[in-house]
Amino acid sequence: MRQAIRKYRRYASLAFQETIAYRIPYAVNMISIIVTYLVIFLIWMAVFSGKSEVGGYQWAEMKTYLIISLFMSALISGSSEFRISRQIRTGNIAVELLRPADYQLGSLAITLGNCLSEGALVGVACLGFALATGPGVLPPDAVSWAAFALACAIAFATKFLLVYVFSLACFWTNSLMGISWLRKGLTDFFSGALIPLSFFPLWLKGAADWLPFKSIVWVPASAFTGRLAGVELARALAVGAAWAVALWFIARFVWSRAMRKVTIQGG
Amino acid sequence: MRPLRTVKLFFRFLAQNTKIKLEYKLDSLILFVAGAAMQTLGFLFLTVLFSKIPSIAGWTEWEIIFMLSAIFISEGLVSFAFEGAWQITFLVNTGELDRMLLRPVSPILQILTFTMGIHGIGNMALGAVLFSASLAHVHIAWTAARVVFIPLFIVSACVIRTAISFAANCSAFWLKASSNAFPLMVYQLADFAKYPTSIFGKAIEAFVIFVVPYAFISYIPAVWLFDKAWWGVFAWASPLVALWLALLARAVFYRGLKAYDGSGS
Repeated sequence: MRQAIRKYRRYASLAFQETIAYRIPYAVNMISIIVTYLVIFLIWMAVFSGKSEVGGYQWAEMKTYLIISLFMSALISGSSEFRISRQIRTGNIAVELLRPADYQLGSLAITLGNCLSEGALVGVACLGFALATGPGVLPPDAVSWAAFALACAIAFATKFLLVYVFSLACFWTNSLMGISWLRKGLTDFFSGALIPLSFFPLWLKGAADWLPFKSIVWVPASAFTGRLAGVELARALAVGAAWAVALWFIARFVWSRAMRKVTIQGG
Repeated sequence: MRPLRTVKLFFRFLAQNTKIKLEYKLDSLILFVAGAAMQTLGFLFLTVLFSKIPSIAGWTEWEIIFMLSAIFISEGLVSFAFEGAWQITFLVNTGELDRMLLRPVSPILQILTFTMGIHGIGNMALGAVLFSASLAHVHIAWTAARVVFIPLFIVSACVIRTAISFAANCSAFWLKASSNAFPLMVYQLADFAKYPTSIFGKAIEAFVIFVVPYAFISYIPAVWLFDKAWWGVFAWASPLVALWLALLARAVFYRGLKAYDGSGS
């Protein structure tokens, strides 16, 4: 067990160093996220101009929501899908299969390493942005802070597993592009990254409630602003955790199916 | 003779590329679905947003959907026909470009038609649906000029988009890196043209009018069609902007070729 932990810690620390060494792809990814959010942020600002509240939100809360949303999106980047799909398409996955390590755990460790190295920078950027744009809201008490931290952990697991499962689809296709767009589009919309889920009409909210995506932005951001609290928050966290566990096994299942299908092209 | 030959070759290349793509049935299907789904989600975003507010900065829901659908149509057409612009980095790095330079056909045509984007069809289909739906909902004081203007601005928008993406991708000639994210960043600026650009502030508005003129693919034409401001009449400059950008992109490409020295393999 201890040895296993050491092994995956090594994966994570290598990924940590890699992000620091290869700054450009990371920076570009960040800029693209920031442009997306700048557009959304300015639209919301225009929506709120001259109004004290929209859909039950005041600007301070909406602003905080959007900044936490940016934080969550930037913190857990989807960059592992490029690595996984490249390994599948080039056949380098064969090397991974030879390693005395579990591919899913290894990928998790790598994503965690990336997340830790990017996290500090993203956190500072979001904090700076928050301070520059006027007052927001903070979690009211220690319990809310703890709930937010827990929600972040669940968000991490959910996003990693979704990216992982979608990437495994490359075993059946020849390119990542469509898969990646679909994942990103569904995540951005159903996680509440662009628009809080409480704005959704009932039928759409019903769908979003049962999908796993909401754990990625809506739950942590609403826990932070205090909109989700008490029993409701506990329920959301429980559902999110259940989804994460389910996704873990779905990923295992997809992987085992893929292993029966994989053909490595000789080179 | 030569323009005619170029057009004929263009359609030949397009047909061949389409056949290649359709060989990969699952990939094509996913891309088609992804293209349409992304646009549906963009539309849903606006619908949800407008369920709580009547207008943004004086623009109604269907006016913005009109802008968005115009964007989908030009985006779809460009991905469908000229997706090859995005392959310049690959062509330069692998030296594949050498082969194109030896052929007696314009290298620009060969690059633009090097591949086609099947997702463009999904974008166009959804764009067309939303476009006709929005025409039924918005108020436009129809005149002959406005009727003529619509196809004119959509064609100009396609040229503007293609020229900007092509020129941005030409940066690969100088960067000589294995991947090039600069064009993607430029491409993303079109997000500012999906909505009434004035809401983003004067600096961004000026930037997408004068520096990277994405404002001409949807915002300024919409200002004219809906009669939002006197300067909407500058929308008629779209074809000129398109021509200017096309010439500029061509010049950038030939400057880039001078910096190109093959991949050495």
